[in-house]
Amino acid sequence: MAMTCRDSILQRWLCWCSLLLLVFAMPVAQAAGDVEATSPPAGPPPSSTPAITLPPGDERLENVFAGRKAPASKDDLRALETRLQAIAAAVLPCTVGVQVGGGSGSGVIVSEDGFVLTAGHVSVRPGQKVTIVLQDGRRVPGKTLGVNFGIDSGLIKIDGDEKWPHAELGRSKDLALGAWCVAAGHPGGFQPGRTSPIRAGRVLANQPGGIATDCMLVGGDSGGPLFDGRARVIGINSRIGGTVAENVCVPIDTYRDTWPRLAAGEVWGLPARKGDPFIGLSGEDEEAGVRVTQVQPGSPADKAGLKVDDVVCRFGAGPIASFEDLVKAVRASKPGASVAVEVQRGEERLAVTVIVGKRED
Amino acid sequence: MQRSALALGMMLSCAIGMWGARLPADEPAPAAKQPPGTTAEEGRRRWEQAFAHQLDMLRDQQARRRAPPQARNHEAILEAFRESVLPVRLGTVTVLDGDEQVALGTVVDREGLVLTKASELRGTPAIRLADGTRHVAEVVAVSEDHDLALLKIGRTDLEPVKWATAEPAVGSLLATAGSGTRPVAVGVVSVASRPIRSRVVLGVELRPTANMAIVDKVVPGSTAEKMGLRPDDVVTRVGGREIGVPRELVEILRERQPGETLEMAVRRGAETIALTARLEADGGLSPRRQGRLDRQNLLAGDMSSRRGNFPEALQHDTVLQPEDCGGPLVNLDGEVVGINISRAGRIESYALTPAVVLPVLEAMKAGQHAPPGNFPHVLEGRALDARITRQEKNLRAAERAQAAAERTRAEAEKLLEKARRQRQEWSERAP
Repeated sequence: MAMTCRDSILQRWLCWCSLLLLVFAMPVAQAAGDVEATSPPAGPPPSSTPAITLPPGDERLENVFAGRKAPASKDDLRALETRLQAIAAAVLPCTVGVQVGGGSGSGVIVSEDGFVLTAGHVSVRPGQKVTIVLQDGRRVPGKTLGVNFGIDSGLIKIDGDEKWPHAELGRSKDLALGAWCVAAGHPGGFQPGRTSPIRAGRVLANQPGGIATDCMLVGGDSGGPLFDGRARVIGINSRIGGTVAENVCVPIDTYRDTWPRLAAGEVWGLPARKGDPFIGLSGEDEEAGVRVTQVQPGSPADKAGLKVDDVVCRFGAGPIASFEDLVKAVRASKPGASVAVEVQRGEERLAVTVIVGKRED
Repeated sequence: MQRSALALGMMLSCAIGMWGARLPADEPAPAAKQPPGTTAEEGRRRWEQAFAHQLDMLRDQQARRRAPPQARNHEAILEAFRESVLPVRLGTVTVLDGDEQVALGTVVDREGLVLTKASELRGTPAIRLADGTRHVAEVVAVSEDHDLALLKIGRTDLEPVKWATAEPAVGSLLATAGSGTRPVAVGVVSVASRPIRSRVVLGVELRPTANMAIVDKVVPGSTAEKMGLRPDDVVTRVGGREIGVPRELVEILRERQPGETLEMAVRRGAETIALTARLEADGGLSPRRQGRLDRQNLLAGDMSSRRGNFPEALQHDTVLQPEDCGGPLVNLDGEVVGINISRAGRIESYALTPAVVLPVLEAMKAGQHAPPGNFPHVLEGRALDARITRQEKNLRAAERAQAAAERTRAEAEKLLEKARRQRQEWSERAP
């Protein structure tokens, strides 16, 4: 996703439509017309009112579902099946189609007042009018809120104050590999006469940036939900790879962690572009600051004499506590500016001057 | 590391997007080219690498045709389904052309009758039973509507499958029986039985604009090319309806059936031109040709050549190969809830339920649906087509290997050159 400019993201995300070979997309310039000022709806992530009640399962079933135990007998499979059927029935009303501009994606309603989680590349930018297509084909208007392009998360609010069927938020961090899960969405766009196809699979990889499962996904599923064994949303469908094992979802924890920003209509995580301020180093967080892991030869950081294993503690006026801080500080600087940088090299505390450069590609 | 970065790039480049955001799958990793430094991505780099590594391992396992230990189709899970496919162990057969499996079959009568998927038959059909014996099969009946063929072999002691009496609910577990004691693969019911229409495809790619349907590319050999569409044409009216948002064109096409005539008005430069097309399923393109347009669906393997136009079918998410169709799909009790009839895309397989199969089977047994007179000729043609496809595949594999060898050679030449230069420099430095 390391694309070099905003236009290219939109083009990349939106350029194609496969099944009927018609492209759904909207050029950036055309956006102005339908953008309104976003009024940030206040409040924390939706409360976890248990929206869905499932039949009780015994401890063995919970162990199977959580991936702690493989189903070993027909009885295990029967219990698993009963739960999968219940989840399928429960999640269909919360799974929606999302139509933005010319395109179609998916989403899931997660609060009674109509917050809809989707993928960042579906909602694209805040303040857009969208159409939410409910299970019965009813279309209701909504508006896009914040987008994190970095992780591909997005939030939408359905207009009005009707009460909506909704799913509860789960937790993604501690999902075990092998845990069973259920995916939904509207591949190819909402189709009358077809309920959202239910897919079952297991968690194959789980990192803060993505969950891979073998719940198969395809175009149009983007933004649709991934559920755990209690029908709680644990991820949002985002991207696929070349094998059956690569169906990747945005982990739900990022929606919890960034809820205020998403709800306030913030956009972040946009890839860097040509001309951005640039110093040319990689690093990792350390207690005292950022430990340099790589210095690009010939870059401003290199010219200033920064070396691998230096710990950057201060960039200009601001103290640096994490790589995120450093990124923000560099972004806030101007190409050509001389910035005083403090680094710890072994026992020594050094002050160097970095002349901020321009990103060239 | 280099490898995982490349893999990551490939994965990220396949974002599933709004209805099919389709991106080059073999593009080099943008993440790897990014200069190290101060992008917002950099903050994500570490988990991306960890994630890429995990995906890499998964990919390796897939490449070796081994499901990862946590996968739904891992052998430990398949093993748990052994009891479920046991009742259809003898009722599942392999349909062959020569030694090659072209489909599975479902035994429906003691007297040597087997149902299978008609459009996969080719050459001189033969059947291998669970006992390992091979029998030449006679094609007794073919139902074009259902894509079913009834085959007969010279045995009178077969064990027919037991049909389920009710359709399983969405979410129910399903196993596709094969020739072994474990199922071929397992899955769940995705969508209850419904009519499956053909996908009408024109074979155009439109520009990414929101308010006009502008043709960007026309696929060679497609309906769109045959009707005379050209790049830069603006589609203004279809079937008497105005076209604004590209989605409207999709919606109109979705309502149409193959064989119907479609009238279209397009603006080409200053002129407005009327075009007419006879619509074809899948744009008149083979799955591979369409693959260029429908790459996401091919990302999970090949698809059946016929993927739609069934009176009614149950949709499930079992990952099948086209040659796994035609055999029984069972519930946990080993009752047949359907005959797999199509691998239709990355997320979807279709099965004909007993409610659909049994009436047509009765009609076939009663002497209806006799195969057309030229059927053996058709089967011969398909066998020849299959040979072409196979050799094309071999050729592509050879070309890829050649390209890889050329890269290795170029790299070796470069390194040799460098080594010689260093040797030269050394000798010039010599005291």
